[in-house]
Amino acid sequence: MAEVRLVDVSKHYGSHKVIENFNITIKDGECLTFLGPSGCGKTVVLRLIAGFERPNAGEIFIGSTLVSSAEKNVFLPPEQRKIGVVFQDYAVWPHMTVFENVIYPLKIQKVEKEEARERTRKAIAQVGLAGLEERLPYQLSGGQQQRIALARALVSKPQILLLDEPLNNLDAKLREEMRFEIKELQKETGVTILYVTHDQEVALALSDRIAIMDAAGRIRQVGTPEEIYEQPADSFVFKFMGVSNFIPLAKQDGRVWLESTEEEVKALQFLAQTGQDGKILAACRPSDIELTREDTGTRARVQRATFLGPTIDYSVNLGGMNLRVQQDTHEAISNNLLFKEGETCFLKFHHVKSFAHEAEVEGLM
Amino acid sequence: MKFPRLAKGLSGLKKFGVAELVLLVSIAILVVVVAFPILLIFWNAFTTPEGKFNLKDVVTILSQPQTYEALWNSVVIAAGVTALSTVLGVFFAWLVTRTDLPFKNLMKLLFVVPFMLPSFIGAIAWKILCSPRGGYLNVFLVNLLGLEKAPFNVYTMTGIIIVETMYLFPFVFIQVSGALERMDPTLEESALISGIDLFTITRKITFPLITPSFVAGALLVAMYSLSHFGVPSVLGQNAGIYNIPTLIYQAIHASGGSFNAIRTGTVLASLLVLAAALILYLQNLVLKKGRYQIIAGKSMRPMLLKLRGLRVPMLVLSILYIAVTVLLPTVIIFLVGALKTYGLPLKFTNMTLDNLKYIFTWKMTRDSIKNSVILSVGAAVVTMLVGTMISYVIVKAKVKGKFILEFLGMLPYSVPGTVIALGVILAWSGKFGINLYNTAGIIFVAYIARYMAFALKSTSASLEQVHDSLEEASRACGASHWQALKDIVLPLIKPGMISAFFMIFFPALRELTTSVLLYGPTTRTIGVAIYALHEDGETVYATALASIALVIIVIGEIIIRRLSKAERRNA
Amino acid sequence: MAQVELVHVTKRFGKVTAVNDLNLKIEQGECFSMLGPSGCGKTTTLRMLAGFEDLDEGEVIVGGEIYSSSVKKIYIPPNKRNFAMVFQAFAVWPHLNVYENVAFPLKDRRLPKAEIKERVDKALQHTGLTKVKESYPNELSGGQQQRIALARAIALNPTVMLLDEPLSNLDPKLREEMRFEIKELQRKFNYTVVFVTHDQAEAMAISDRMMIMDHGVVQQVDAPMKIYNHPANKFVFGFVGLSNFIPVRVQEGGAVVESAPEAGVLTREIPAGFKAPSATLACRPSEIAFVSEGEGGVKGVVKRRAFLGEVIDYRVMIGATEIRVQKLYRQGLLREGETCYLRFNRLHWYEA
Repeated sequence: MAEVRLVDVSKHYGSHKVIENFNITIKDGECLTFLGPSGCGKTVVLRLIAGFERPNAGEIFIGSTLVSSAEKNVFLPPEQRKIGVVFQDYAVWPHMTVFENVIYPLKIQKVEKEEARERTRKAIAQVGLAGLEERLPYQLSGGQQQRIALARALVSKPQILLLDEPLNNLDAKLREEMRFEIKELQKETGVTILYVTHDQEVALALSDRIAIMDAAGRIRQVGTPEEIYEQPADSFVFKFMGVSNFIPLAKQDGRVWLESTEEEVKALQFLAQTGQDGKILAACRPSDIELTREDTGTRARVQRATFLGPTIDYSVNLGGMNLRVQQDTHEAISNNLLFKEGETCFLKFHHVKSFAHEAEVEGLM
Repeated sequence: MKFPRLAKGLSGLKKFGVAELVLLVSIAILVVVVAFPILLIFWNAFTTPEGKFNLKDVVTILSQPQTYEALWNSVVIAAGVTALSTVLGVFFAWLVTRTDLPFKNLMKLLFVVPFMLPSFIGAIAWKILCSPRGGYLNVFLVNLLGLEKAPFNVYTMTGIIIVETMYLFPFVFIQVSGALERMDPTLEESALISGIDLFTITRKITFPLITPSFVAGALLVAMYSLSHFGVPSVLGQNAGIYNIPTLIYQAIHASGGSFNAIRTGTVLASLLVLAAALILYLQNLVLKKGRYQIIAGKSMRPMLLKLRGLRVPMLVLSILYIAVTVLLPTVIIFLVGALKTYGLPLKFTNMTLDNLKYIFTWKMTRDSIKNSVILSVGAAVVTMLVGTMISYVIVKAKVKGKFILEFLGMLPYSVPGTVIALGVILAWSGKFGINLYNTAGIIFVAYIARYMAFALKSTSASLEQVHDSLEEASRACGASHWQALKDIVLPLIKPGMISAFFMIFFPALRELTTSVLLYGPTTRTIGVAIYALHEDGETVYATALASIALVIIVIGEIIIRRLSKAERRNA
Repeated sequence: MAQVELVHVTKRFGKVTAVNDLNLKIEQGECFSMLGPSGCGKTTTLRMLAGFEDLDEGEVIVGGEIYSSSVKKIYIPPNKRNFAMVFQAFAVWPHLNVYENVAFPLKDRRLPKAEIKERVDKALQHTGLTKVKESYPNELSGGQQQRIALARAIALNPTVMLLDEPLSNLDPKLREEMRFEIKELQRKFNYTVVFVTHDQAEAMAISDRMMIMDHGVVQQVDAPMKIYNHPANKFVFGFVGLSNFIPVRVQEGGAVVESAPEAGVLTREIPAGFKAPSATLACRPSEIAFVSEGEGGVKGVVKRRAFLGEVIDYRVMIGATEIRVQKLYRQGLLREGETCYLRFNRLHWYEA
């Protein structure tokens, strides 16, 4: 178990700068997730730590060992870094049985035979594959293959476990199942985990801390899932964490207007109580907007109502802007708050966040 | 540091690791075995012995009627064979994939069988059957129908084209039936539900979509036919029909390898290389332009055209085609190989096993079998191993300068067998310190050059399927580069290596085009021996040896099929 | 535009009965979806309707005319049905550009040039492809390729439009977007649409009525809201949303969890006619509330908790029975290992 530290790390492919002066510390025993859109460089960071890539600048430490340094010309090859890696495509060796796959790292390390067999059996049992030791990978499902990869990565007791979108190729149900299992394995073994994904739900469910990366390879925010969800650093983070409504507003003297039509939005007046006057960007989730029939001073028109089972999904028009609203089906029925397309309704807002306006410029809308 | 420059130099040296070394070795092998001989051909064709640029001789050679007639013949034969192969290949491929023809899977297998029959042996068989003077089929038909003269004459351009087509059309068949099978059936269904009838769909949707495949197959046939020696040589020489490869052979053999003959040969060979390069270029052009994504996501059965009343006639037609092109020649080879004397009627009383016994006791034929087996096993092993190494560098290694290897790796695909033979004569006849002339060594080097393309294709395809993460996973488990290679990569590409071995072993076993220019008194191969016996009029012994060769080939093919089936079951 | 009727339709592949005695009437102008797990027979039904598969038994009647009938030996081939179909793998012709893809079937019908142009332009306009009409499919995104297929279908002006999992190859965001586009086109042109999918949210969002199938047998046909609120059986309940199935024992005073009768009573209201000592109660994770001790909830222990953003997903153990509970993030947090009390709302009763 060890802490992993990246200090001013840069990686370029030709003239393309994937990451530049990248700094982060993964604490001993924690599960840290890099969450970001595809192509943001999160996988490259993982590969730099694993030693599959060399940094162009900066230093990487695993524990107290310097494993990569461009300046000092230090480079420890992957096999000497005491890591475990699980890949998106499983990377289970098709010509070896489950047992052979899992015992391989111990064979390479020349662990004494009886001990190796014992540890392998334990690791296989740990991921719930006991009894399938003699199977070949093609006889197993995708989820089972990914479990082999997990067992193989854990059997040699690595200092850090690197997981590169390991659940991507699994169906939704299995993904959910494996999410729990990875979490449980971490609790059992105490291993430090670096997890890379673009799926915010997995990140929220699994991580002790999340680092949100943007398309340019910069870290936007690092924090616990609750912090990230409740106190997003900027509109990028907010947008990345779920379906979002953004409302560009102007505020002055305790009142707010829609920037586009200069209509006053009474339902959002509470935003004007604090902060300076000027432009702001209000943001909320579909479930933070309530549709009612009582006059809140903010009128909207239902553009589209879609029944989705437990929820009803609305698109409502407020001053030329479409907002997504989600309603609990049973609550709506029992409170007689079902709205038809074309109907007029009033809006109530809860838990609205506001951001400085310049975020809009980044084309997030 | 005190000596910054020295330190830099040392770290530079450190960077020159194993990968760079392997790259250099790979480049060296391809240069020595393939690139250098081809360059020598161009050099020889376009310079005087003093090393001055010389176009006069080239013009002289090309303006001889003999030369341009051969060139014309080559082009006509290639064009005819390509056209005919394309029509037959596309038709039969469509028949077995898109109609309700009975026994489709069996027929699919049978249509590839002509590949197993060496084309020059086929040509000998057709000569025996359809020679205007006493061909068995001709005699039979004359007697049966009371004709005045033989109905068939195989010693014609048409004869050559038809016989070559019989053995080359599977190239098109395999490509097209593969494309039709992989094609997403909803592409056709969507047209059908839009109100378009099946005939229009076939014309306007299906065929345009498989165009890249059948063009690829057709160009393969064209390239092969252009540089083909066996059939034109067996059927053309009697009637004075030469194509470029047979003319090269003629020039070199008639003169016993004189300077002028070699010069003529290299000029003609240069033409072949240019033609091959042009075809390869066209092929890339077509493939690049028409690389449609037509592969199905979901596997579904395509709509099959109901042949209704034509079902049985089409089956009969297919079976008849196989019977005429494969069965009939094979049977005639075996029968004639057992005749007491050539020309006797094919009756059981005229048969004997003495011919076979003689083949196994006669030193010349025995040696030829031994030579062929040793050469083809040796060439297959060496080419497979070298090919694996080169493919590994091309597909997997991250080294600078890889592009040189990628370029050199393309070369073997475009060099016809005749050209390789001439090239190795120029390179390995002592002029550059090593003299392999008249030894088995020279044939060995030629085989390696000739079959390198097969090895590269097969091993690089299987290497591409070994995803990088498999290797990286083992590195993460603590394995060094070499351990990862040994434990993960090699076992996974083993099937590709084995198939490379057989892809080289079988063609090499029956090779004629290259060996016929390179053999010495003690280094005849099976192909050369059959060819020479046939040239000398020893038809019975030629066919007896040919039947032994066929038996070896068939047994071999069966063994591979078994092996690869077992392999697939384990994989 | 026409009404579609399937009468006693049965289809077998070898020994497997893919569709078993299916009876169905789809109204003119209706958006109807067929929903079920893979292999349930929904695609086979659609393909029989299209004429790609023949029927072993029964009849397909469109607008009063028999299109397929096994007994009467009637079979109108797909190209004579005047339908249009959109496929999962797009099935746009890669060698034709966008305009030609849409125009090809019309040209084949030898319509006047001006009419072809008008119909194609209109279809491209409705699918937002006017700007890319000169492009080839491989230059376009998956969503745009599927729009070509839609435009091709619209230009045909079909009596019935068949959609075979048209959104399954698209990424989730696009899938949601195109779902609305299809719905809008259907309304605008008043098409009869038959839509096959395995995604229950998609089916509910798009259809006027839907049919749920399993193993070739129809389970329920009704409007989405009706199906969600009144599922006909356990299978339907499980298929249209997240679900808990709780084995219970029915005793005096109410139903208790089979594996932990002492934990408390789930409900005291036992529907009339439920005499059996055992039953299965079905309940959605969002319909379960955490209540305080003493409020009469069933006692359990939180085994797992996952933070998913808007909702928190709990796995609660009542004895050996695992119950999934989903609560909005803002409704308070329970820790793993904590004892809790559950109140079950809107329980559905099924035979054990």
